[in-house]
Amino acid sequence: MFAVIGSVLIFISAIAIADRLLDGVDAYIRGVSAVRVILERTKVLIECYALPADEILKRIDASLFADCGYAGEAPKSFAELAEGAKISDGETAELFSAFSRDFGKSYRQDELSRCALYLERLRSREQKLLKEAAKRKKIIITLSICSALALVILIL
Amino acid sequence: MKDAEIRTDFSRGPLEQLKEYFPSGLYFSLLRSAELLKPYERIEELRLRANSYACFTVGGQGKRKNFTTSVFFSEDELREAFNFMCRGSLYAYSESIIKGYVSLPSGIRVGVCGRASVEGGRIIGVYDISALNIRIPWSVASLPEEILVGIRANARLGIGTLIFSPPAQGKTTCLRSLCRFLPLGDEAMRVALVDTRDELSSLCVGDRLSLDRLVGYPKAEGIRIATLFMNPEVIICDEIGGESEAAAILDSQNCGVPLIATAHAPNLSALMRRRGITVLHNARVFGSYLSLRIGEGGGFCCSAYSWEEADRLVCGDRLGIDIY
Repeated sequence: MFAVIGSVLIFISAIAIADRLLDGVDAYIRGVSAVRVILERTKVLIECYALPADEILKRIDASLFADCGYAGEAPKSFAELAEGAKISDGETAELFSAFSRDFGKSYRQDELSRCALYLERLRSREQKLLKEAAKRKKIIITLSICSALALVILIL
Repeated sequence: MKDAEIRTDFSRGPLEQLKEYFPSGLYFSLLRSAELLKPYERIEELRLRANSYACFTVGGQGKRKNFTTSVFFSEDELREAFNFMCRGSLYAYSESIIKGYVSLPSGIRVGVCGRASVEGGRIIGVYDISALNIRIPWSVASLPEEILVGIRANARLGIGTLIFSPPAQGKTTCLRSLCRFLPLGDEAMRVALVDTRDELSSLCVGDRLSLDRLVGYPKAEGIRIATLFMNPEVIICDEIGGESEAAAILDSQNCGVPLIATAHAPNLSALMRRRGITVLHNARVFGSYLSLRIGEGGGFCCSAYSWEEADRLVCGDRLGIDIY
């Protein structure tokens, strides 16, 4: 009886741990996607209205800032956002801070080209991470189930 | 004590509006330099040049002079200040930079010059910014009520008014007074403000103002849109005068909505020698002309001219009647 209860508990724990790990993987990707969406929105708002940075940031959904790990009041500049953001992926964080550092120092066409360039890099990074994430998820699920099974076998 | 109070209102106060655009050390150095001015002197302009000392243009007692401060601006510091003035978004101000200025919130206008990129005779970009001229607004008395009432009465009759004066004599201040007077109160009119340079609208706030703001529109386009779609009783716009601009205004302003505008000119004869103004005068866009001057006491001195008087003056007769 105890062995059955123990096995169930092991399986529940394994599922919970796997779920946490999968969430972690999703959050990792979410941060990268949020930066990509912010840049896409920025590009559109410059293209259509040539809005200054503070006005662009006002028009971006606050949940995207949260996904980047930015806590606090809405940022007034991209530099402030890049500084306050806690992006898990190092390469994305570097790309975003390079984008923010020189943002707003050139004329419209140049700025749009910069946005396009960084977007391209971010998209390819995101694609790569998505592929890696799919693999990682499989590993997490497989390892969790296998570990749980191994433990159950040991107990039984 | 009274002098000090005046000085606080006229010179130090406006400098405070610039605080956010300068590294704090430079800002406080500028403030210290302002302390050296005589009590009656007010700072009208602050000129910054790359690798040079900042310079104030000060006015007072009917005189203007240049005062070089001991505050040195390097190329990087000037670029940084300019970047702040553009809200860290140069691209958003490219059109106005090409035209030679940037408008700051609170209606301060900054003249900009540097190295121009030209294509087909047209400036397509300005880079290596080398000098900024910050025009600091200062307190002057509002227009006399009789003048405001007179302009409103004319507008009700469909008569437009052109306000003219040399630079820095209060034309924009005068328009701000009108933007607060005409659309407010029992006799409020529906006013459309075409604020191409974004100098007026930010200061004309109030939830009871019957004022439609068209900010950043080219004048002719703004006037056309206001006339067609906003149904105003009067249109206000700042600084007209170019020939092509006048022709475009004429095209868009032919349906009887009176226009109140300003123009640079030292006197009526000089005003009428400007081709663009002559075009508008001949088309009777303006039925009255108002000359402005800042008196020694800081208030406005105005001379009003009717269309006929102006028309005769164009032929050589001076018939201006000094009112204030």
